Amino acid sequence: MSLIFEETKTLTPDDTKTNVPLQIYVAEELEKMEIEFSYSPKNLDDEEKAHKYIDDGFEKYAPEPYRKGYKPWYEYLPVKNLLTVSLDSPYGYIGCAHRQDSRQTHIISEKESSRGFIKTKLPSGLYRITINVHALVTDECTFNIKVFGEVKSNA
Amino acid sequence: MLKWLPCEMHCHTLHSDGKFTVESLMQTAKEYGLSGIALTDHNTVSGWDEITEEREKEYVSVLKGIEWTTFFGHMLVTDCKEFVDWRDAVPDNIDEKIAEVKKRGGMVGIAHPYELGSPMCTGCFWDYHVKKWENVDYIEVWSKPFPPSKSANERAFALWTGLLDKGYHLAATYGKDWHRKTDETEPYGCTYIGTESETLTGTEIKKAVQSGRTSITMGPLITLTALRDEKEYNVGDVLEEGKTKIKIEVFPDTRKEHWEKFNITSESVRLIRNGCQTVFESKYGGDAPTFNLNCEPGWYIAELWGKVNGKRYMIGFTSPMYFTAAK
Repeated sequence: MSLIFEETKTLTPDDTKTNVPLQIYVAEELEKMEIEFSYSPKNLDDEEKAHKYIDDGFEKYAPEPYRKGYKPWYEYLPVKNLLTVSLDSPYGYIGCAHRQDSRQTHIISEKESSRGFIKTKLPSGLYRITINVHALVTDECTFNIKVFGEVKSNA
Repeated sequence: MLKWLPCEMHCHTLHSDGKFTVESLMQTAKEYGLSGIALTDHNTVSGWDEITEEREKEYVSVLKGIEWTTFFGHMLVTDCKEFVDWRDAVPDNIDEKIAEVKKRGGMVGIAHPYELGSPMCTGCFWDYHVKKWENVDYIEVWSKPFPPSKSANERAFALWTGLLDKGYHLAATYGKDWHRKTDETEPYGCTYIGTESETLTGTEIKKAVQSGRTSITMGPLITLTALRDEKEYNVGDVLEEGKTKIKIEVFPDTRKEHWEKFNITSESVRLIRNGCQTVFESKYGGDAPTFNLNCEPGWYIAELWGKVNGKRYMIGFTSPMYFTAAK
């Protein structure tokens, strides 16, 4: 498989609740696509800042008199970044890997796909990769995404 | 005559961040005494391929769905015939997004509306500005273990009854938000689905919820029926106001082995209506309370109250039966 796309980008807390759109032009039909995705850091290690994030969350989502019954703030540690990858082929939505792992590898093909993505043909055309920034809590967080493609032999 | 079958309406697998395979989820659901589940992985339908007729026969029926896991709230979308994009949903376009789902035959439920949001649970709090509640089929009024002990569920109950007060017809569900098999150290609930069908299917689960035929409990099943002119009416039905024979039944043996260990006892049943006014209350035990009531326009639900380890809680409640003004 050969590398057909790579992107590295640094995000900040201002990117929370946004999508980072990426596009790949695939010139020839593929047999298989592999996506390697990683981001770092995963956790906010500064406990004071983490405590403030949690306190702010409680203030916003469970203000008095609704605070009863929740665990103490430290039970919500670590406060984490959450970035997910979703993918569209020229045929439409293929899926998303919604999970906490900060290093992920996904295979997509007609015969077998990694969990989160449907099995599908991979025609030539424009593919959309979307990095969904669910939470960005560290001062900076850098992601790297690599896409490898195996050209269909009879294409 | 409806059959009431216990279901879990909110489940995840390895296709998103759950720990179940689709088969182990279906198998575990059967072990937990359930008849059906909704498979609602976060933002993906890739698990649907693993729901086979054989597995549904062996374990439980499955309603195919997805949990829209967006930045501003989580929404359970089931049996939608085409993909509707969740990624561009923002607080002020949610009515349009819901309308797109409905146009494609999907059912829409608001998941855990008062769950803590970020950073504790990203996007879990419902921050959307819904104006067209008539397009929403149900609210996950109870969520997570020991539902009546959670203030988030009290708020969801208030949201739901507030919308009923405004005249919307909305079913209630319980969602365990099931991600993995755990030691059950607290009681949890289920959603009973009322169906006339001999065989439960995903389609029947959807039909029942859309008809408002649900009852939520963390103990025994509670049902509410009305009798008028020798015809029986159920929750979800709409009747004209007037004198009605009401029956509130509790079935003490339903899934007993799954809740009895938590020392749950039933003490009383209530009928409540608009503004959460109690219009009838009776001690639990003996024959099911049957009484005549002059039903006014609005909604009526039945509640089961009791104790868990000596402390008083609501144990279960039904979706509403509705009454309209006489023509």
